[in-house]
Amino acid sequence: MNSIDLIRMGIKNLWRRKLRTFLTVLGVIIGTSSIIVMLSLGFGMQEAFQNQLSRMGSLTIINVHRRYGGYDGMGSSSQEALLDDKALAKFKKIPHVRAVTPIVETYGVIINGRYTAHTSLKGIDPSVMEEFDFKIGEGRLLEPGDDFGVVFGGGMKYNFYDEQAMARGRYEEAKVDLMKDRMFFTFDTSQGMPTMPGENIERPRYTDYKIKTVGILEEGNYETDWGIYAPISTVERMIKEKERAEGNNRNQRASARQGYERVMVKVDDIDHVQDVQQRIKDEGYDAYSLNDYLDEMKRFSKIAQALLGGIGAVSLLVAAIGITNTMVMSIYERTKEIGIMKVIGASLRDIKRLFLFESAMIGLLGGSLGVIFSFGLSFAINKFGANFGGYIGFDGGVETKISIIPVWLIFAAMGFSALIGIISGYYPARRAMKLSALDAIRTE
Amino acid sequence: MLLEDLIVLNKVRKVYRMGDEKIVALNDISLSIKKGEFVCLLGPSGSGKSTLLNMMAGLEKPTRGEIIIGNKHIEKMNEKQLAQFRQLNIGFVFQSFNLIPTLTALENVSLGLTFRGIPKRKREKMAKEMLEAVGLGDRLRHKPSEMSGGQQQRVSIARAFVGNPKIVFADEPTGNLDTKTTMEVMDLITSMARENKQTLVIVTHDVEIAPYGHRIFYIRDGSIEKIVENKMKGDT
Repeated sequence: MNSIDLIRMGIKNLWRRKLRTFLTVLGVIIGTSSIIVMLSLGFGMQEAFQNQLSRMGSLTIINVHRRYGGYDGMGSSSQEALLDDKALAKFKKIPHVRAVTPIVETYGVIINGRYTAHTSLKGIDPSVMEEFDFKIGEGRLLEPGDDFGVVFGGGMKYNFYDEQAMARGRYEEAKVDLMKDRMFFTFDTSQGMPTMPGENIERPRYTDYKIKTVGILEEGNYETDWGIYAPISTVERMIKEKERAEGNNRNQRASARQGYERVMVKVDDIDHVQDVQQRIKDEGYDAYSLNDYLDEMKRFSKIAQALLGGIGAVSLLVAAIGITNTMVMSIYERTKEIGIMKVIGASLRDIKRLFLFESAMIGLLGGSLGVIFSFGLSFAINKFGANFGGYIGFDGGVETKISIIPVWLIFAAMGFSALIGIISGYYPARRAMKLSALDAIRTE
Repeated sequence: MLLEDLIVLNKVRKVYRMGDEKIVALNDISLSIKKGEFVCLLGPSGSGKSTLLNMMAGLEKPTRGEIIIGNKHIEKMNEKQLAQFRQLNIGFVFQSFNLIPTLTALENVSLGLTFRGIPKRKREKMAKEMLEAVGLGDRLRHKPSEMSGGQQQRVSIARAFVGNPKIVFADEPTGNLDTKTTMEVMDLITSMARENKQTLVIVTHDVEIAPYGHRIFYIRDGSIEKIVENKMKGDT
């Protein structure tokens, strides 16, 4: 029996019992779409996590800190590697590392007319700023030779306020134009504060640094929103001057400056972050990246997905039993017909294939319609669930879908439901095959 | 012209178990049927004649003995081989027609050819010609329920002959038909078999039909009582 005839005959048989076929297919539709929709919720969740994470910073950047051996309780044997230029050079040589920069950080106040802003000042290697995923919103990123040119974090404009007015209990939005205003930076954090009467503490005499804004970063990244960036050489010089002004113990400081507090390492691809991070840890440093959280979240969403998928799988199982039932019923009805076919020359294989084809068709049809139905359902969830999403704390700023159906899932679902059909039809098909032709033909 | 033995049965025995009781349906039957011969197996119901036919068609296995058709041992074949053997060598006509009720006359006749893998256009042409030969050229698209008993049996005859089998088995082919139709149907079967030089084995309890065979085997209690050469039939 050739395949075209098999298909023709199978479809005809299914069509002959439209209602029953439809009801069985309906079961598969419900089963398939419940799996798809459940899984799509899982994918949506994963995507939402990833979105949130990427707003916390780049996933391919590793932050390296000095490890303070004394704290780990393992005794003095643990390494306490220095985070110096040598270490930097070493990091650069690790495969898949694209760029390395030390970060020097200090705190101070920016004065802009009557407005002030407390901020952290971060020194970074200007030549690699772009590599580290800094997204410029206005102006440009730092370039070598910028000296007192600075780049503002995306959220810095909200940081300015009028302290005099605040002290009088009034709040007004600061009218600042970061690109144009003339500003200076000082370490004197009491700057702009009203002087307490009778206050007689001798304040260190800090320098005021004129700064020139070269750019403002894009808003919406938690890691870079707050703070300003300047070339590392500038910041290091400022720190030295600050220490001199404060008259601190030079020796103590000197030892601390033997290395950097923090180094950022940029990896070329997210898949290599773990490896690089591990290698840096093996060198005796503390290293962390957002990838650590991502792994955690991935694990969580896998569990959630397995759970959701499991719920969907139950209904597909019920549908599979439905297919078996339909096919067994169909054998009872068609016993005589099977007998006739056998007597006039149908091979066992023909009979088996016919029944398997019919059940596979039920599966595939249910699967395909289930996919279409799931898309509708998914659309509805995203449309009407979006409001709900707002309530449970999803940020409205970014379009986060609650339900996401990847392309592979469509084909997987259709293939899987056809497979379920074949498996469900296997027992009935064998049964039909084994019917004695003579007995079958005698049934009325 | 009748020389070659096509069907040979050698001490075929069939025993059914009914609970504790053993029923001997066929008791060491030996016979041979020549190529192109028409044979009638005549006997009352329960004589074992239908069992004998089913054995020859490979629908039942003997308890003991040999069944050789065209040098092949039927009793040793498995289900798969039997299916193929039937497909290529055997046509069936049943008492109760055994047409598939959901299929039209044309589809019923061409169904067997479907299993042989003959393409749709070709097999429908063959089926149509065969239906025209049995006088149902105007009933191609009718379902069995829309036809009389005689017409249904003619469809079934067309189905049996369409694949040009070597042997046609007919099990009480006229049992459900009136006298007039019986004669028409028998004339049809024998003339078609004669045309294609096919071997015909008819099982019946109706003595009126018996004269259609070259030889008549009288079966009683699982044994061949006597074999009568039909002189009247002669060598047509």
